[in-house]
Amino acid sequence: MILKLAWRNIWRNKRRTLVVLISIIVSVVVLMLLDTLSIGMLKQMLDNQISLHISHIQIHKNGYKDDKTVKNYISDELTVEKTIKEIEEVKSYSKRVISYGLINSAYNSSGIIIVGIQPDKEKSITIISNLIIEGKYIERNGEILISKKLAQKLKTEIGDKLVLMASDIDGNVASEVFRVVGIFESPHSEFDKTHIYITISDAQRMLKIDKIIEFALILKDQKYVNVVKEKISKKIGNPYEVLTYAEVVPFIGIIIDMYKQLIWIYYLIFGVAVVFGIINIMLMSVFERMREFGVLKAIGMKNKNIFSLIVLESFIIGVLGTVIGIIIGFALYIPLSKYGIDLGIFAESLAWFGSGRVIYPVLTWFTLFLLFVTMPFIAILGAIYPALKSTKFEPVEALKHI
Amino acid sequence: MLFLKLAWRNIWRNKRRTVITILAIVFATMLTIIMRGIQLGSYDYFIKTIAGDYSGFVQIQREGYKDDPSLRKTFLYTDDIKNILNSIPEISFYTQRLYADVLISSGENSYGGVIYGIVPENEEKFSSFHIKVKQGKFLNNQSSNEIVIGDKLFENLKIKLGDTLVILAQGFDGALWSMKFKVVGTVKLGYTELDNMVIFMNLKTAQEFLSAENRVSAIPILLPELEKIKEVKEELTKRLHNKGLVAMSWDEIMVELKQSIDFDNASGILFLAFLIIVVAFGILNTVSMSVVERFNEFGISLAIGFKNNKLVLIVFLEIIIMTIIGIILGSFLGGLVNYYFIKNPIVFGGEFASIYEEFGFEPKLVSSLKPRIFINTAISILLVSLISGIIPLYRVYKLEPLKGIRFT
Repeated sequence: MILKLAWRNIWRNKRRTLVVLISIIVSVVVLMLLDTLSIGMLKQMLDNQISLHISHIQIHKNGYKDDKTVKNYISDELTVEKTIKEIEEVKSYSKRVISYGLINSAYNSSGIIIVGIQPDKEKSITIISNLIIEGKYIERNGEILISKKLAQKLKTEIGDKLVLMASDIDGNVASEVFRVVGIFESPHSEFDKTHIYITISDAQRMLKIDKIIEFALILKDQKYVNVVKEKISKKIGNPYEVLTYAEVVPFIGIIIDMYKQLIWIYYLIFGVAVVFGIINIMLMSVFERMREFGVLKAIGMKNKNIFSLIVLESFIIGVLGTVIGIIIGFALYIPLSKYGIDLGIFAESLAWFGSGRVIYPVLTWFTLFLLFVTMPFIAILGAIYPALKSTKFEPVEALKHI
Repeated sequence: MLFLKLAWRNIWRNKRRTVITILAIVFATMLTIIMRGIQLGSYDYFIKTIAGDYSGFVQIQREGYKDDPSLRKTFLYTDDIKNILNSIPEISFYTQRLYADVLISSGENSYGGVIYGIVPENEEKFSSFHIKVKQGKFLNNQSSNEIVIGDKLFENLKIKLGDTLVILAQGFDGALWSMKFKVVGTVKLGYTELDNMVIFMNLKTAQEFLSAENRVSAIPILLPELEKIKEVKEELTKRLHNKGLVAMSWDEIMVELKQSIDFDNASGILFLAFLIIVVAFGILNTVSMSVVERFNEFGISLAIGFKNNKLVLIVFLEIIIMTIIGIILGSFLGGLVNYYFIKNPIVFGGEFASIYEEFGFEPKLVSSLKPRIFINTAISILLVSLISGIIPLYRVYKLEPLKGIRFT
């Protein structure tokens, strides 16, 4: 009964209710886009890191993470490889040899990270082979893959020769000549500045080791990382460190944490902006109905019923606005999540953050929950003061009011 | 004046409603001023500190250095250049630097590094390198074959202060050179990329080592204020052009920083714009209500010969008065908060700080009391509330006496 009453009351002054509804709808739509786009950007930063180089899980000799020297190689490659093969959640894996070095062209030189890869296996764990913008992917010894940024700095083209220098396992500086076969460009400019690819056997020969430094694993699904980490650690034990992507690049995890801790502030800000509107219209409608409440009270309606009637009216407006807002939000979100928003004017900044220039929004259950809860809650909050006012009317006084 | 008085009285007919509406405007104004204050204040701070340490506000380079930052694109630092720099009064300070990518090795470990050949006595006035020393000491003018390196690089190399390192580099002549240097100190610049790579040495030492006698990569220049950049840049370009040199401003050199600031700025403005629109709906409702309530009264006024446009003027004044009261109060409160954050900047610690450092920012937010924050906020809020008043104003304009009188 009260529900029906409340519903009718809301539409007594259509224009007024509509305006408040619109303000709620606008807030919900804006919050939905803001939240999903921010999450999308953060997710892209992380996904790019994972798919570009980091992968889901890395295995090294224990201590490599804090001391990235060639001396920390994996001594018993076969045991580790056997363990990895036994775990069903692992989709694929690849071996790498990694070292710091200096790259020289006839023109310039640059400090870089040398990544020695198994060309065909690397294809199955990272996207680097798809990022070639000129030339081809490396296949054979003696070939080197560099980024567009580095190629510009070194004034190098496909077919040119470059000299790589790095200190080998004995501490002597080794240098070797490579031919540029391909140039890549990734969404992450900082990565591009520092990473070059050669084959794993070239890297081993240069550094004078016959071992590898790193296993990089891609799992069937990202959610298995901790399970797989546990499984592998248990089997191969202490001589090795098994790191998830979150441990390799902790700072993106920190950004996401920080974002989660701060996002409610945005909901709050819009909540406060809406609450003023709600207080205002509920107050107006309460004062307009003074007489009516007088009558209701005179015929025995309790204060608490009137109170809940008003709160309910406001709550309905909140829910209605939220539902319409989310529907409109979805209508915008679905095409955006498919085609993305191209923020080309900020391309270099986004490349710096490593998210890429096209942002695809991502809607999480948590966002949906916040969206559903905020405005109805704000509506209830905004109705309390007007509802309290309505219970203060004395029946006789209120009846006299015109 | 009569209208103003009428409008003023009308506003206070329903005090509660007016107060709530004004509060909404105060809230929007205050929030806008606080958010813009922190954004603009921090941008200024970032630019000043980062530009001071790295690019300078304006920088002189050889033409083409930007696309090809190699030793070949360095230039001779001549007395001629010095005279030009000294003759421009707006320049508060300048220094010379030589950069080069090298390989640095402790014998057991080697890493890619970047040499910053600097003039220590100049840098003391120019950058904050010398106050970011973590261990040991910074360079002085007598230091030769001494280096100060980034603390992360120091950790990676696993060496002690006083140890000798070998640096391997391609010189200006294209030949590979290696030389021994003694580590006398470490710096924590707070920019992860540089802390992993930077090697400070005396400009003279760097020039000799790289066989780049008297050559520099860049002359960063400081100005007393950011607003002078354009003027000085043009002046320098004009006078240095015939030497094959160019003057560039910090935003041309650090495009990523500039764009990140623009990106943050644009998203901030967008957010506030929507917030103000939501508040405007509240204003629209209040004005509509107060207008509809008075249709009866307006009808009578019209019947006795009042013109519609006079009524519109009164309602218009009401909107303006409410908005301006809100803006003034909001600006005052927002200004107080901003003042507080100028005196007590927000400094992040722990994990938050590490994010800022990853991208080279100091983990510190400063506010600002720039007049343009207040002016822009006031104009946008006034504009939006006037737009939201269009519908009710139009209804008053179209009101006919009889309809108004009969309106209940």
